[in-house]
Amino acid sequence: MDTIQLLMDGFSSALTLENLLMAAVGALVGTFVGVLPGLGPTSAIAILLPLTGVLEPTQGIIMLAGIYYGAMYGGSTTAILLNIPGELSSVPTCLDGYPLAKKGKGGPALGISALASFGAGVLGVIGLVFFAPILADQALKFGPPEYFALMLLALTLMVSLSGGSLIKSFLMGAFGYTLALVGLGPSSGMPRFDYGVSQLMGGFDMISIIIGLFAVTEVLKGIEERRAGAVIAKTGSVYPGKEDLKKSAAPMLRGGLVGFFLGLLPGCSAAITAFLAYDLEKKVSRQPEKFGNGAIEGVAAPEAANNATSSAGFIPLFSLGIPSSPPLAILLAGLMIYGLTPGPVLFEQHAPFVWTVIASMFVGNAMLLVLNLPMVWVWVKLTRVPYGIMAPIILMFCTIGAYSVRNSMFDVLVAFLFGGLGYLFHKYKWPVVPLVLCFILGPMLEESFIHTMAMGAGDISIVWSRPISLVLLIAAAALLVISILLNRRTNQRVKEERERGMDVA
Amino acid sequence: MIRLRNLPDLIGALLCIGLGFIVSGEAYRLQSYSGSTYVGDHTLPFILAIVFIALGAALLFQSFRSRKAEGEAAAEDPESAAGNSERSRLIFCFVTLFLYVWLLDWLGYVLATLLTSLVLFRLIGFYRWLTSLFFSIVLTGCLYAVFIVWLQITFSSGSLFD
Repeated sequence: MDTIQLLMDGFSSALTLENLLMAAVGALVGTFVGVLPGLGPTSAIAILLPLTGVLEPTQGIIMLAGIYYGAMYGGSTTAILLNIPGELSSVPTCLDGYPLAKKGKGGPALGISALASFGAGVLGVIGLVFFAPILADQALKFGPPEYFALMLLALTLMVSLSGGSLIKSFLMGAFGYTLALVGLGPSSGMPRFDYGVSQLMGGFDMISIIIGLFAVTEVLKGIEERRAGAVIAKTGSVYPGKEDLKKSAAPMLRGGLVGFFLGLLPGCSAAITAFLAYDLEKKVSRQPEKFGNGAIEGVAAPEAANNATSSAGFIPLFSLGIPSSPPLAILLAGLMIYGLTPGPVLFEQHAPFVWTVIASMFVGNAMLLVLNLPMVWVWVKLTRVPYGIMAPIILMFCTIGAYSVRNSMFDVLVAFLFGGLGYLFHKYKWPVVPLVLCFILGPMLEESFIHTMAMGAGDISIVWSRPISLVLLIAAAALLVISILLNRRTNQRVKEERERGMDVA
Repeated sequence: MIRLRNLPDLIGALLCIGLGFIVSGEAYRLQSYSGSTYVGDHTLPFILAIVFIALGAALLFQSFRSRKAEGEAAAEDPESAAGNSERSRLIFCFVTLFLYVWLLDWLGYVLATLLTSLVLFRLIGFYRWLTSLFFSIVLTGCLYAVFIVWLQITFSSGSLFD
């Protein structure tokens, strides 16, 4: 009952004119960036994160959540109309979305995708309302050893998120932790890794690194690939007919449930659930041969699954402080910039903020549906903006974003430097997500480690001698195995689609 | 026959091992400021140094593999080799960005942005100079209106004009 009351309070705050405006702007801007070929939710949030810095925390996070949902939605537009999956999670949408568009049914496919995203998004937020406070309540019993075990859980998540070479993932994670160490040491107050450079005494700014690794890198990749406007398939009316709705209802529900429950597992990305939902739908269908040739169910199920997973990802993020996907890792950075550390105490210390943001997610999902269906033609036109115009604009935004956080030219330099590094990392297959995650979690890991060692009088066995931390360690090991298996399966599916000729990012 | 599979991994591994030694040096320096041998600001750097050296060595080992595995890896690698023109364009863009940081301090935000965006439009979009100039004026004007006038972000006005 308390939860409902808190949610209602959240709604009364989220439905104020200012917050509604923020949700609307976030949803529109997110969709705008999401439909630009090559820019997915991660780079969208990375580019726009610093620009929300001028807002109050609640408004800023409402806008960021809107950008996240909007960019996810925008990704499906390019997947269906251009056959360009901005993110891995959009690959299954392409499989039937693009054939539908080629048949002139791109509009209904977009409509079903929007409906599926809305339904699953709402389902995920309902889950967030009920699950997150329970989880956070349990996590309140955590002491330093439990937090340390939790950080190790995040480490395993880091491995599963990257999907590539295990050694490279760990090395990138270690690099991220090392970057987090730059600055003043927490126990002695002595500068670390500054080598006499005064700017390094304050440590690296999170935003500059994120902008560099995601936004600047994305532009550099685009320049190399000589991105150009693609041939857009036909759209037709975006309002699906009765027949399409009837065919899609059950796949949406199944996809939403698969996405939500698997999305609760940290490390289970939207790409995994989207593929699982697509394959499940193909298995239960009476006409599996239709899949891959323009089956509307093949759009509804993965779209519902990936949106439900994205919403479910907010549960471990808000209650434990663990982001389960790259965009959520950036969102975690956003929360920390506003001085809000996600985790068990977030619900206790910043209840009005959390419930306003949760309520605004319902609003944001509804806005996406209401605003975007009639505006599909606008987004279709936007996909024609030449990359030669977009790229310099993005780079200028990156400069302002990196500079504006601390009014420091050094941060701009860091952003460009990491942009170059990010490009090399991408080229030689060094995953950047572990770096970012470990950079964000580094200070928390160190703090919990020092406290744990102090509690155990120098004996690390305290971590596995306490029941909750032992359970967390076992969970970390189990998740590692599950994630590796699921990732392997997803990679296999992506490889299959590549072999069939799909240009998978 | 075992031979070098890829140079980038080998270089990456060597860099990681080198980084491990640098980090361990810093851990050793920090230890003198700590009251405890095991717990302090030096502990995590020390662990990271071990990770860098151990995993770097493992990667170094992995960068050598049999010819059969090499062939399979090459077949799996979809990385397209960018042409020379793309690569030089990429390097020019990257250099332009670093020059931009220097220009921001020297010429100030407005002029530096105008010049840099002019070069970027020309480099990335292949637009004519006049078209690029038009785009850069519009972009600089919009950014100035939004960020400096409306959001009141204070940028350097340039040491040249101080």
